[in-house]
Amino acid sequence: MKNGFRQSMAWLHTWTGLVVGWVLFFVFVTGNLGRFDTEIDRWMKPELPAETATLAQSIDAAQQRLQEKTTGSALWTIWPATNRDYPNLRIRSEDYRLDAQGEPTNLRGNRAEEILDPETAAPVQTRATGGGQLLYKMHYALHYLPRNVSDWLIGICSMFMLVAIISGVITHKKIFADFFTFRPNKGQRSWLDLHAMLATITLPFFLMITYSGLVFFVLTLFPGIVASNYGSGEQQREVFNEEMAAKEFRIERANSPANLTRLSALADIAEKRWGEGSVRLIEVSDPGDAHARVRVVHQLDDTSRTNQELIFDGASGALLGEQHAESQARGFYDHLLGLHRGLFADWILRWLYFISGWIGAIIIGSGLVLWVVKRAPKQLKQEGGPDIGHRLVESLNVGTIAGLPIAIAAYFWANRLLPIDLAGRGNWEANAMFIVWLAALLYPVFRPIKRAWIEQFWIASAALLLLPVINALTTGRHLLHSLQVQDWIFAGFDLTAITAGLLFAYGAIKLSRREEVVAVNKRDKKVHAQLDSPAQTI
Amino acid sequence: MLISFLLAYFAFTLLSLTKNRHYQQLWPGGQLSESTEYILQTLGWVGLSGSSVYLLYQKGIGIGLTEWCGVLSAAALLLVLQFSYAPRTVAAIALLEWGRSSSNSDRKQ
Amino acid sequence: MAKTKISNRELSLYRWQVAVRALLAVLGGYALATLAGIFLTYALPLSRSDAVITANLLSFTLYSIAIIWVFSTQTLRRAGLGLLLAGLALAAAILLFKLFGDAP
Repeated sequence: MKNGFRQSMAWLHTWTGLVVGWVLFFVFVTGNLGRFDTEIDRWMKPELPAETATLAQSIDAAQQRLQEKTTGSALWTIWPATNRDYPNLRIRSEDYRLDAQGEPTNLRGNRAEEILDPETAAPVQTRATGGGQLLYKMHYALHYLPRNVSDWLIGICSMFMLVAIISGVITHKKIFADFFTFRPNKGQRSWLDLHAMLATITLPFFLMITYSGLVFFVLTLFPGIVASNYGSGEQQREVFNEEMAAKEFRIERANSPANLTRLSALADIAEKRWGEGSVRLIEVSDPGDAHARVRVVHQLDDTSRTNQELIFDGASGALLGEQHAESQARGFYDHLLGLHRGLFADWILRWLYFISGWIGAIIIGSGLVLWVVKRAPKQLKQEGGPDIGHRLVESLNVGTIAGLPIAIAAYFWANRLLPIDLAGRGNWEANAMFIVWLAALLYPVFRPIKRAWIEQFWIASAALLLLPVINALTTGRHLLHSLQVQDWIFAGFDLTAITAGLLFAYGAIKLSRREEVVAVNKRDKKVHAQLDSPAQTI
Repeated sequence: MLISFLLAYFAFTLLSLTKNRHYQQLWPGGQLSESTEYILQTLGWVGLSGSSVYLLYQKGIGIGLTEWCGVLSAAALLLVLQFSYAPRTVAAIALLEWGRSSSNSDRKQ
Repeated sequence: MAKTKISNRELSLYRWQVAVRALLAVLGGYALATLAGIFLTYALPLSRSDAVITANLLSFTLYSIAIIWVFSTQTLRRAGLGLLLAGLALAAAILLFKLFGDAP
């Protein structure tokens, strides 16, 4: 650009950040709630019982249910309730996709998932809800959009973010010198401090989450690289997937039926080898076929998303071997994806992930606000008021930063308040969220911007603070009760909502005070100016 | 993890004191002698390395590194909040560290 | 008055330059990153799927470097020429692999 390197990087940072800032804010907020997806699930399905069944009992129930329900599946997956991610026994079956003649192809078709009661092997009935999973899914699949569109959208936004981070580091090189500086209550200075200081202290996290997030889309975003080696098309992509997964002991379907061995016996062998509670999941490929294979997979104990596993012959139950080794390239790829998901994280690390994610959202939000604050003095002096672009950014900022939390609160409200037997109930929860968000985006267009901030902060605060109340009224499981019976999921949800609500109230109070101060200052200035010399009034 | 956090926190405290701005926040008008600054800086980096080595040793490379990044952010965040809103709470802790090193180096000044 | 007029014209010229540069960075950078990725899959001494994964993982880095570079060069022409030359070199290398190597 026409000026020096630093200036051009500052320019790049400003504009790449602005263009995708709102989408990224949404991605960070929803993705970050996904750190507690399972916990939110359990809050949104208060009917779910606490599980106490043994591993063998669970797996037997799962096998029974899957055998009754499916024929000719490509893959079964059973998740016994042995870790935080699966508090209840969950099963999934995946079918082969049929071709035009109705013959199964080697591509995957429909999936069906159920939560089971291990005592009765019957599915557990819960209210229809997207739960925490839907919220989590929004951060990479958005909503209402087909996956190939959302993949590209999120991929492009993430790419912008990567560029914004790199150019931001170059622009703000100096921040590393005063690492620990935050000067509150100094207007633009404070916003810049906040933005730069938070970005500095979470830079490793920020870079990791962006880059590894992009890695999820890498095969979509650069189709040419795979195609150059494998050719384009779905079949060719499948060849690549197979080759990459490099599963030993893989075998073609025999197309002759054979009874599947008792899976709980295989899990028992794995537990004897690894220790109690170490089985994360069991996968059966081609169940009911003579060439069925059973993989018993160990709990995640490292950052990689893949882990040790034992492979058994599905028909005879013989142990075929152990598999963990993977190539370095593949291992690095899996570690990046595993790091992004953070499923391996214990409670402390999970909260650190959570806090870092919020800091990420604050960095993006403060960057967006900074754009406005920096330009406001000039814009306000302009004849005829600020440009339309300026107004648009301001409104989108209010509607996103203050509006999205209201929308998410609405999602939780809908979960508790919508009638249980409403048709399409799960969808209506999400609809409620997006309707409220749309309203929050439009609202600032019709209000003075400063008032819109304050009012939406108050609404967000009220919506969040009332959540525990609504929960108590609809489920009877109020905070004191949750604390008494040490139900940390319900207590944690209530306490988090209350904390967030109080923070928004604090923000609202702070903003109203500042507005009063500004109003008083303006009046004083006017009076002084008139006293000194009338000509000097601006 | 707590040990690693404390190490990182103290290391950051020492490093922050080598920055004039923060030093002035705690001891207005004070000036750090070059030798003290050198000592603080060395101790700070040793502390940071220590906190990483400890976690890597305890948790392995993958999880250790991840936790260390989290620990660094949390430690730095705490310190920033203290400097911004309650610098005296840093001073209380820093004094302990400072008292030790100042007894032999600052007197010469 | 005259001064503002000139700066208006300058401004619109500047805007055009920014737009062209942005296009160059986004599309040119993308093409370059893909070419570099393909080149890497042929050049890396790894198995086919490993080479593809490695090249894919690096492609984002290459893309960001290309974007940053386009925005940091002095003149638009230099940015365009640089991208073109790098692209041609990579394309030539890929062609050589296809002609004389065992690339598919």
